[in-house]
Amino acid sequence: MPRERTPMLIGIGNEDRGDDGVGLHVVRAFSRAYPHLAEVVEPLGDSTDLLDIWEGASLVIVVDAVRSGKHPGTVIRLDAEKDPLQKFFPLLSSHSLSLAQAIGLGESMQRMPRKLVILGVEAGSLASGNSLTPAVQKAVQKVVERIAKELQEDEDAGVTEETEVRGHA
Amino acid sequence: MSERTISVDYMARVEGEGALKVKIHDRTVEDVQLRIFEPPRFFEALLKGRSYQEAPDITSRICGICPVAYQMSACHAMEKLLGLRVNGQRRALRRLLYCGEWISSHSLHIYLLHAPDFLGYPDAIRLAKNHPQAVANGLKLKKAGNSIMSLLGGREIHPINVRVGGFYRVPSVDELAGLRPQVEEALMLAEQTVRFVSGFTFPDEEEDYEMVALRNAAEYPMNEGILVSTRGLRIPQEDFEREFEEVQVPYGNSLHCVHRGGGSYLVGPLARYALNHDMLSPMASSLAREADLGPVVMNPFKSIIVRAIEVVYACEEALRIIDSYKPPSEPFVPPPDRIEGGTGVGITEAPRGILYHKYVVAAGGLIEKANIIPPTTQNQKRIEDDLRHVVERSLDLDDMRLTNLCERAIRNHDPCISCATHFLRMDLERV
Repeated sequence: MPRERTPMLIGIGNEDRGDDGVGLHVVRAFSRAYPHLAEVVEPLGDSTDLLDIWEGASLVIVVDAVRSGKHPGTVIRLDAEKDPLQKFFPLLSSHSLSLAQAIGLGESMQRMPRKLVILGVEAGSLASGNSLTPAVQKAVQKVVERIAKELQEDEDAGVTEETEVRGHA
Repeated sequence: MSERTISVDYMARVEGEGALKVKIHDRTVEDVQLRIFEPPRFFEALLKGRSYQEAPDITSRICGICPVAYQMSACHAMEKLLGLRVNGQRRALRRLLYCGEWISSHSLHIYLLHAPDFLGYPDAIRLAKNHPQAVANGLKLKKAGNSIMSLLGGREIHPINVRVGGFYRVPSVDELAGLRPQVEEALMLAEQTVRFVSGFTFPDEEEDYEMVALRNAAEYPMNEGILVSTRGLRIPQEDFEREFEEVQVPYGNSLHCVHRGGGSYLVGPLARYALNHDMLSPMASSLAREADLGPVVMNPFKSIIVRAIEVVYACEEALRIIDSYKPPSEPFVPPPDRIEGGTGVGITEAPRGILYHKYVVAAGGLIEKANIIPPTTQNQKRIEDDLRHVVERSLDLDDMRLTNLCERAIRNHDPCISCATHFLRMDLERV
């Protein structure tokens, strides 16, 4: 499985709606902590643009706020291939498809990256304003480390696969 | 003796949050309600005390799919108030921006919201599985529209480059020419779209609509014109409120706009087409003939074909404007040094139909009063009338099939519920 292409990190959210902007806070913090480890994108359009953005990408990690009834700041990991996304990403925007529906379209049209991981951070408040609530702010660093771990594990898996392939050559 | 209630608590594949309720007693349709429960957002109150310059920016936030329409209606209203004329290339650029929005909004509706109904899929995701190329074409079309809006508007969602008098910055010839390949491809895809949707099976339903749209002597209308209807109405924009009025309904958060003494009416692509088809561009006209549309389309299910024709038109018009572009010497017409107060009305053709803005501005330029009537508010009563007829004609269907037909009847009109709920009139009684 080719992993030559740099991993892509996508931060989704509205930074003027409190915790809805956590995805953006996370990817910016990751860029500062680990520059050059991933291609970082903050898409401005609607979710169907994602299919173009991750065209040809290998590993894609998307970070977004979720509302699933857990404590604010809780981090969940979803694998686009295996986990049911609708529960965590209902139609939040009334004007476009939700993240889950965009992924559904991508799967139907076979326009998915090799691997898509979603890291969701449970939002506390979506009120107007551009700061995160304390519990969610605390989660930002946790998610940054989680992302670094994901990238490392994916790279290690690639090395292992390559070794196995070579071993059987 | 039987009572049947058809209800859908949360409509799928419409913009915003709406619900449907139909009450049938024996074989009589007792009640039909298109309920809007998205919370209202009090925009007209928000505008009070703001500068007239802010109207385009503030009102564009009412809708994420048709922000350009709000900006255009606001700009035209303020420019009439101030006595400003925006002509020549600035006018052309506004039209081009609107073409982008029509292409984007209509393509989204055709492929992701409406086509699944005709092909028997519950949603676009399942449609895409069996028709990936068709959906890919739709997404490409939408993207082409968004590219026009990004370039001219500075941003796809809630453009920032529009101002009273014109634009903050105008593109160079090269920048605009850079759009050409994508719009050329969009025109080709738009043509394919007309042929694709013309092949659908359409229920044989017709409604006796009063259709209302703009009309002007020069072109298929977007930004300018008088108000006309298929029942002989012909009035200047300023007379809108003499003909039409908003009425609060008890079961939802939005208002109904009705023709005084006449009831419901229809705005949008069917209305524009009926009242302006002689103004369509060559390819759009020819495709309309090929699709056997005739001069007036009264079958609401066939609105999908008319939207596709309008996408073709918008692509052709966009290419025409790009090819004849010469940057204006100034990006905007400056306002007068002294703002005298007054009232201004601006009506422009949003993708879903005429969008009415009226402002009362005080001397000095602060907004005293605003009245905004979106196309979906104007269509709401008409959509309920469509529903009533659909149900009356299909009482023998089982609940599941009847519900599906009702949902389709609503989706035919591409309602933008977010736009329709921007305003709530509140009566406060102190006891």
